[in-house]
Amino acid sequence: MAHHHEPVLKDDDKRRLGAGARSFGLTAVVVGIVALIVAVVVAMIGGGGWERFGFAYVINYSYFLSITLGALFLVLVTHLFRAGWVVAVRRIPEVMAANMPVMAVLFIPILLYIFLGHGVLYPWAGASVDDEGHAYIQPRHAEIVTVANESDHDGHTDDDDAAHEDGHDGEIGHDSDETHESDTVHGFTPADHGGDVIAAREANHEALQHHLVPIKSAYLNTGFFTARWIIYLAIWSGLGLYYLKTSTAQESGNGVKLTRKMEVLSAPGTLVFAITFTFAAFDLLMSLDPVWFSTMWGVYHFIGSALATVCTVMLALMVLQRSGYLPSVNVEHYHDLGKLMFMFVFFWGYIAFSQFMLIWYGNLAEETYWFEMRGITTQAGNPFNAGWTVVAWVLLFGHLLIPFLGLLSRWIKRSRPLLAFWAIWLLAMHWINQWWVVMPNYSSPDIPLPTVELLCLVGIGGIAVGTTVLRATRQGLIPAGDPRLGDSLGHVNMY
Amino acid sequence: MTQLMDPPDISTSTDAPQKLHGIIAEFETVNDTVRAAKKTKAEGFKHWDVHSPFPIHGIDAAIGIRPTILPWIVLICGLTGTIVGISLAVGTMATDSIDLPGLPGAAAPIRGYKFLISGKPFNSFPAFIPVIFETTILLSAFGAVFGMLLLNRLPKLANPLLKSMNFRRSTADRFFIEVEARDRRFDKDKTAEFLKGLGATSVELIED
Repeated sequence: MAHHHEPVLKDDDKRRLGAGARSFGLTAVVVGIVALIVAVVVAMIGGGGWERFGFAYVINYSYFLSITLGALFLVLVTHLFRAGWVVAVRRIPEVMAANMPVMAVLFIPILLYIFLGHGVLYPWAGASVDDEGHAYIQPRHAEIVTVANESDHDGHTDDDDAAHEDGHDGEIGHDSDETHESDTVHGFTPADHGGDVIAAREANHEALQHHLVPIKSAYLNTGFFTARWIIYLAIWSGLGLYYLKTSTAQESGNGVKLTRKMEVLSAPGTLVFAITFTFAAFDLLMSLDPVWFSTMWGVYHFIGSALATVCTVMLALMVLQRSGYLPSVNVEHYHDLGKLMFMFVFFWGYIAFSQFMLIWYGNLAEETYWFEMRGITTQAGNPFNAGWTVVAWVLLFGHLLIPFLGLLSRWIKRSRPLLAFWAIWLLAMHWINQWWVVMPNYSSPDIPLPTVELLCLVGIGGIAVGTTVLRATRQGLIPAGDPRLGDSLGHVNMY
Repeated sequence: MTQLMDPPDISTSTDAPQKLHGIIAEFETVNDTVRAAKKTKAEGFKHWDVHSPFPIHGIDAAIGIRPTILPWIVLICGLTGTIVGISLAVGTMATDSIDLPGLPGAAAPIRGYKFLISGKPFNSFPAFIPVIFETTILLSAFGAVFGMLLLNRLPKLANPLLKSMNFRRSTADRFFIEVEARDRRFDKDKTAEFLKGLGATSVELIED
């Protein structure tokens, strides 16, 4: 430090969140719970039922889980690199990561889908063992198939949504009669010629499922899945709580020693984080379609996660500073967060493209259909070249090219209004990305109006944000006991 | 000061009269240097610099260094790389022939290879992106490195400042402010007086 005076904390830096924040947190939680109930009702009335709600829940659970885990990553990796600049703003990601136990509770509905859902959400969870000891997939929702069949006889026209779901049953007919019957009730019979293509894809997908799901059943089964998630959630909760607790404990002395401890744990912590995150991404999002596989899946979601966290931390800081908290956080800290944001924007594009290009070049049927269902196809007249194609283009420009150019210059990374704009923009893009990843498993090529999905966004978001704010009121907003706080307060970006 | 190795005696190697390069003023502490730099800037000098053994926080503002144009050089080089990459990939993979009549030695048209790779169309943009990406990065990096050298007028084999025995301490424990003779406000005696007035422990004339 070349400064002759070590910067000191102002009184307002140590100010804690007050009653206003507590009532905001409680309100958000209540709003969240109400929104989730409304989402269930809308799903039941508007068509789609529990299946639709399940997909909407997974989109938004993965969205907020990714932000929570990104916060844990930010804490771990800045300790790993012994980053001085981050100390003044580190309490925000610490609190966000310490909210992991709430995210663990919010995982329970997904477990219910695994155990009680007959595979409506995760087709492999509906797998059974046949007489010869081979696993096979039960019809995804035999009841709906029957109902649709009856109503067809009655000359009743199903609404679009219900007809849609029917096409999604992962029915594997051992019995030829059964196969025939299920074919006739498939919802995928649009009037245009695209219906043939869609039906062919469906048949191909069922055949692939029939072949691949038994092979993967050693990994994708309810028992092992539950065991894995108990381990992930325990590790993440443990790390999140440990870092917040230790960082808070520094305020009553022993700052240097505790920083050393946190740094030592960060190395194995980062390693364990990387492994658990990768497998969690496989479990939560990739196994929604048990046929498809991509080894870049973990990195792809990790980057989206870290990016969304940087945006969230930035917005949280701005909100706090507007209310007079953390006056010592200055443009230098925003600049560094902005650099991270810019880096993750480009890294996301790099990984997303690499994942796409390898599958596109490899041209294997069990991989390429995943992109086709998400609207990425060059075949003229392909019925999948429809709604999701627009979303894919939105992601290419909105998640990569436009923010890349928009964050390129140094002065932008030092301007709070512009950073706020890009943070909100990228958080929206991250949601669209999760939606684009998950929802085509429920419906493709058509996009269902995202009503249930957005209600779940408010629902899980209200609970996650509300509980995080409540947790934030329990300690100061700056790691006042960290020995590198002075470094961080006097931090200057040369470039 | 302990005796360092004598600098080579180049000042007397020619008979021609020596041209004045500038004046260096020596300071002992960071704070003195920063304070003096601020006053030198306020005095209106343009061609001057601070030499320090280590980076000083806030010295950029004290000297009033303007932002470098290097990012623009890198941007232009990078965009050139993008165009080169697109031309290279499309030209070789997806073109029948390119006729370049204006170029000597290009009487015969350049033919594209049009390799069939895993049944993909010849003009497959996803396959070209790695090439375009790499040429963009390569030319950006060239632009950054060579642009930096150019802007710093490097490599420079000799600097008149190195003739000063005292100046060698700028890599150890002393700070120097250098005002160049080419500055419009430079006046041998007045500038030396001014620098002394800033609290310099010594002031030295440097000849080319």
